[in-house]
Amino acid sequence: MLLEKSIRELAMLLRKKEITIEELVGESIVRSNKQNNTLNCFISLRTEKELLAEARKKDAELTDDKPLLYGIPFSVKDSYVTQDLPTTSGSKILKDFISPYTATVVQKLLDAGAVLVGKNSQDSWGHGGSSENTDFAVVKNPWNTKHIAGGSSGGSAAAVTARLVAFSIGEDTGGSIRNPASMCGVSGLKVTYGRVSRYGTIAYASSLDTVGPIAKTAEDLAIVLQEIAGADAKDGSSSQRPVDDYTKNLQTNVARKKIGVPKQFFVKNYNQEVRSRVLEAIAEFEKLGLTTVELDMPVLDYAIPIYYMLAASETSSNLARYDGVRYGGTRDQFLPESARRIMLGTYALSAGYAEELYKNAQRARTLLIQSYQNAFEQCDVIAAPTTPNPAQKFGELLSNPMENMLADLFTVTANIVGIPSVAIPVGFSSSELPIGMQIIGNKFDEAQILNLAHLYQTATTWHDQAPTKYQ
Amino acid sequence: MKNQVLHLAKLAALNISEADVEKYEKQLAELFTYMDQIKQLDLATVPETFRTTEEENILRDDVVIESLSQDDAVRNAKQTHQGFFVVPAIMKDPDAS
Repeated sequence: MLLEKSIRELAMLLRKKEITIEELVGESIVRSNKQNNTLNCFISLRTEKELLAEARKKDAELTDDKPLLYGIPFSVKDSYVTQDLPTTSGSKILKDFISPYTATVVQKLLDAGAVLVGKNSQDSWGHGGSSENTDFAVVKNPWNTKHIAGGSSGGSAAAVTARLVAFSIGEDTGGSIRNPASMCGVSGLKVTYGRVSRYGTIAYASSLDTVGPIAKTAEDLAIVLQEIAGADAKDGSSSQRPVDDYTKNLQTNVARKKIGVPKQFFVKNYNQEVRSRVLEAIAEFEKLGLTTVELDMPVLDYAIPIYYMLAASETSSNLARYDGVRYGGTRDQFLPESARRIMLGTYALSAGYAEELYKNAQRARTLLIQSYQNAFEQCDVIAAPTTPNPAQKFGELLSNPMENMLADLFTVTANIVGIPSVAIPVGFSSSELPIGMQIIGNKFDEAQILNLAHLYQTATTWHDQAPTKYQ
Repeated sequence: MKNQVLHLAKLAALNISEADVEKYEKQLAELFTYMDQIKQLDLATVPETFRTTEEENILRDDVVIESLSQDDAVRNAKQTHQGFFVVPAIMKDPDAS
């Protein structure tokens, strides 16, 4: 199977004419059509005929100087608008919506020659950590189809795990790239706020939303980030800072770096297998020459209340645009999870409560930022679990709003503070479900966290594991 | 709280059925109690942070640039009239009784 290989390996094979883009894209669409019947990871797929025609044209035009992503099949979460495929954000409110423009992240990948195969299932509007909050078929975890794929970018993670595409673009507001990457055993990157343009992203919470890749390895994440990062005149919050050379930096020596381990992230009251696997991974880093320092960051205990107050407030405002006038259906079509978040945010922003609720959450955000600033004076990166549990069975999170919220316990702070975090697989539970950890970096330090994730992946094989059925 | 749920639904233009009010009432009460933890933090002198971007206002020359055509802009609307969106009436017709 070609899609088992890394992006760099595929790019080399294409250039040596050992394989063709037609073969590669053909494998992707045939596998996607077949596996989507069980995994439900796509909401829409392009036709085989159309894709093969595009692939043949690209084969004829391939030269050595093309970008590494030239001819590489990928997918995007259905939260990115595209002119050629419908965009639903997982909600029937947008079931007939065809965007008149294409998101910057998608356009950049198309310009680099990557081949868009289809668009992935998700929790509607990004509201959830299980991809069950949807009007479409629910994504199944390729490791065990009785379990969730995580969310909200569950379709993206499942598609990479089942080797249907080489990589996928997810969206992360409180963990929505890292959570499903972790539950499916693949790698996912949440970037610094503003590192990748959000133009054409269906907004969930505008001060927290970020665009990033899900792929098999940290090296693949770096290759994709290289293409999608950078300022965009169409997104005023996109950063004007120059973009680092992420792939070159992967070779940099990272020994003697210091990993911060916040004790609040390693208390005993969550899944012990998750905790053990993450501690083993930290020990592996120590074997590779890194040192660790324990951090005390008490404000981390308030992460979930701060996040939900901010995210709900912003989403109640962002989703006010769905009034059925300019596009889409009516507001009675919001699912309960979204209706709840909209009402929570409406309350937090309403006259008489905004000072006590919304503004206090923004003040608490300042404390969280200060806490991370202090931490990064003592260490280079911070280690954390990704999700408190391996992938749950269907219904466990959806039926319990509080549990659903706590699934984001370890991921939300990176969004609130605006810093990058990479999630990588670090082992399995006794029931053979993947477990992941995060390496969190300081602002715009994507190169360093990818570097460390790559180092770990050169010494371990967890990232190479795929469910037997899809190998 | 029941009146509050109905009030919030009205503010957010959500149509909550009578049967669901009780469910939301219970869930929202639980969430608000949980969120109340923020009050434990000493925030009296802490400034707010509304955004984490370093960017200031991004300005450009005031010249016409390429953008959506009128046809493209209204293409997804359920109801249009001579190239405009048709919105629900918000004022009463004074002649109607």
